[in-house]
Amino acid sequence: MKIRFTPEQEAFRAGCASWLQQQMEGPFADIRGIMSQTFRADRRLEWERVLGQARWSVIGWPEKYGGRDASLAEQVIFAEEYARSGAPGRVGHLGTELAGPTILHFGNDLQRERFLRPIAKGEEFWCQGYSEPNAGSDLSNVRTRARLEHGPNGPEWVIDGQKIWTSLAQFADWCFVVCRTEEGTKGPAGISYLLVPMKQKGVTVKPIRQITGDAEFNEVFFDGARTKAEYCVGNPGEGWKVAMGTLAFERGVSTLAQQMTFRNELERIVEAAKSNGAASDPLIRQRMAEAWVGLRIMRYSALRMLSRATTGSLGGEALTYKLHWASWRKKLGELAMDVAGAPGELCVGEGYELADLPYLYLFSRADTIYGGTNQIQRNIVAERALGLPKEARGDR
Amino acid sequence: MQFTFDEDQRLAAQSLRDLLDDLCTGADLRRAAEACDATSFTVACATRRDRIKELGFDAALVPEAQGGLGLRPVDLVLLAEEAGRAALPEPLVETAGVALPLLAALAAIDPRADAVLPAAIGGAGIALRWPDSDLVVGIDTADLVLTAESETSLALYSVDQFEWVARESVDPLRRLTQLRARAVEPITVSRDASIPSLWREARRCAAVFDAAQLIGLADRMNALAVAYSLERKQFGKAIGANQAVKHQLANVQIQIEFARPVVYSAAGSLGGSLSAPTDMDTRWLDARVAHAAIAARDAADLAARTAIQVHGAMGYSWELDLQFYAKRSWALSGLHGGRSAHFRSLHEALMQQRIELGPDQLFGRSLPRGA
Repeated sequence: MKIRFTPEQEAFRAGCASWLQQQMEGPFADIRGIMSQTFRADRRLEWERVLGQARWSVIGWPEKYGGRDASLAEQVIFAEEYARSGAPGRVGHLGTELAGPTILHFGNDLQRERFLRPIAKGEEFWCQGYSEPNAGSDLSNVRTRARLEHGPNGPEWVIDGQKIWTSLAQFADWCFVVCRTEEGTKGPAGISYLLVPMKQKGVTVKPIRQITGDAEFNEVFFDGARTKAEYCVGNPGEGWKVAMGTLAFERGVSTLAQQMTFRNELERIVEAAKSNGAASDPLIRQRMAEAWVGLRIMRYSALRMLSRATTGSLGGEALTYKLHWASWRKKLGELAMDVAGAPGELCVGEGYELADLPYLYLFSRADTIYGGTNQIQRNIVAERALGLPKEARGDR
Repeated sequence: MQFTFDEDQRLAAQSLRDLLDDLCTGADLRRAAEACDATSFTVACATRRDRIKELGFDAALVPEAQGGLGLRPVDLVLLAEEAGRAALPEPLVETAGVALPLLAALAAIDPRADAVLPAAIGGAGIALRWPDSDLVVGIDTADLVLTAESETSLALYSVDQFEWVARESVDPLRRLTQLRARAVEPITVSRDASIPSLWREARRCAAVFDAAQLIGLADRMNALAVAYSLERKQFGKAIGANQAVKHQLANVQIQIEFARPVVYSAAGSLGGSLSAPTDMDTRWLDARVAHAAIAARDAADLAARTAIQVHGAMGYSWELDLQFYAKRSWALSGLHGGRSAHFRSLHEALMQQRIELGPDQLFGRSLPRGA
C-alpha cells in the first residue's frame, strides 16, 4: 500500500498551487476566504471567467470542451490546492460539477456542443431544479410538468410548476429541471430531465432567506416557460436515471477535496481559540483534537476511494461519505460557536452580517439536510450497500 | 419530600402562558424581528409589555417589607420556563429574577438605592450590566442600570449616564446594547462587605432562570418538530412515521424530562432575598446550579438540532419561526462562560471541595454547613 502521490502529481500540485496563489494574493485578494455563497457576487462571477480562461475551471473534462483531461487524482489535487489557497466557493459549481458532467455522460453531441464550453469558460451559470414543496427526500414525487408543443419556433417543451431550495438561481442562465412529461404517471416513471433557460418571461425567481441571513437559495416558478424539444437529456420519460446520475456526481468526486476547505475552517477555529483563550479550556481542546481526528479520517478515506476508483466513478464505500462529512462539519460548527463564546452572539455589520465562526455555525446546520438528509443517507447505505429491504412507502 | 409545584405556582405560570399564547405568537415575534429600528420594535411589543407588567411579576422576589411579593426563586422558575417557551423578547426573567432582587438587596443596605426602589417596583425599567461584560439586554426600556467594575462593589446609575450603542444579536429578538462611554455620576455606589455574596447569588439566580428558559425553549422546539413531522408527508406517509425521525423526537423529550427536575431542584435550593439558603452547604448549591445549567443547555441544544433536522430545508430558512427559539437557545447557552464554565464549577465542587456523593447525599439538604 502506498498512500502518497507520484512525483508527476506533486509537480502538477506545485503548478496549480502557484497559479492559485498568484490570483488570490493579486487580482482576487478581495474575495479570498469569503464564506458566504452570495457575497460580492459580481467579483465571484468574474473569478469564474478567469478560471475558465486559464482552463482551471473543469480540468477533468476533455480538452475539446475546455478541460485538461485531468485524472481523478489530479482533479482532487487541484481541488485541494484551490481550497488551500483560500479561493472562494465556486458560484459556478452547479454547472461545472453537476450540469456539465451530466451532459457529458448522458447528453448527446448536440447538447455537448451547445452547453459544455460556456460552462467551462464561466460564461453560463446553472442551477438545479430538483426539490419541490412536496418532493424533497421523496424526489420522485415531483409535480412540475412539461408538455411538447409545436409552435412557430418548432417543437418546444412548455413547463409549469414550482421548484424550491434552488441554490444560486438568481445568477443562473440555465436550470436542469426534473419534471413529469407523461400525464398520469407516478414515481420515477414518466419523468424527464430538461435544460431550461432561466432568463425568460415564464420563469420567476424568488429568494429564500436562510437562518444565516443570506439568500443563497430560491423558489423558482415556471409558468409556461419554454425550452427547445432537443434540450431533453436522455429519452423523454426516462429522466429519472439521469437525475440519479447527477446526484452521483454531487456525492462523488467533487466532495473528496472538501477536507481542504474543512481544514481551513478548523484552522480558523484553532486560531480563534488561541487568541481568545478558549484553547486553555480542556473541553474545547478535546473537541479540537476530535475534529482533527475526524478530518484525517476523511482525508484517508478520500485517498482510499480515489485509489480504488479506476474508471472515473467511485465504489460503494463512497455512499458513506456524505454522512461522515456532514455530521463532522455540523459538530465543527458547534465547536466554532463555543470557541467564539458569548461575543459570538454579536453581528459584525449591518443587516445581519455575521462573523466567520457564527456564520460557520449557522450554515453548518444545513449540512445534514441538503443533498440528501442523514436519514436518507443511512437508508442509502443500508439499502444499496448492505442490501437491506427498502423502507416501506405509505402509498405504493 | 415535596418535589412538586403548588397550586399558586402552577396558576401563575398558567396565567403567563395564556397571555403569551395570545400575545407572543410566532407572528408577533416575526413582527418584532422585522421592526427596522428600536422605536418600531417598542411599538410592536408595547401591548404585551403592558399586559405583562399588569400581571405584576416584576417584584415577585422583592421582600414584602420592601413592597414586593416576597416570593422565592422557586416560585418564579415555571414563569421563566414559560418566557422561554415563547422566546419572550421582553426581559421579564432578567428583571424579576435578577435585577430587581439585586436592587432590593442593595436598597436594604443603602438609603439612596432604597429611595429609588419604589419607582423600580412601580415599573421603571432596570437593566443589569454584569461586571465581566459590556453587553446589556433591555436598555430600550430601562431607566436604571445596576453595574460594577468588579464584584466587590455595586453601583446604581440612571441610564442616561452612559452612552450605549445598539448591537445586533444572532437572536434577532434580543435587544442588545454595548456600553460605549462610562458614567461619572452614580446614584450610589456600595462597597459593603456583603456585596460579593450578592453578586454570587445573583449569578446563581441568573444561571437557574436561564436554564429554566432553555427548558421552555427546548419544549417548544420539540413541540414544533413533532407537529411538523405529523403534517409533512414524504413517500406517501407522515415523516414522523419513520423510526429514523420519531426516535429522534423521543430522545429529545427524554432529555428534556430528565433536565426538568434538575432545574427545579436547583431553583428550590436558591434562597429568598438573594441570600444563600442557610440550610444548605453552598458547595452543594453551586454544584446543583451548574448541573441545572448543563442539563438545560444540553436539552436545548439537542432540541434545536433535532427540530432543524426534522424540518429539513425549511429548518434553516428565515421564514420558519423555529429560528427564533433556536437562536434564543444559542444566545442563552453562551452566557456566563457557557457550558464549560459550569463544568469547571462542577469539577471544583466534586474534586477540590469534595462534596459527598452517593444516593443518601443526593439532595444534600441535610448536610450541616461546612460538613
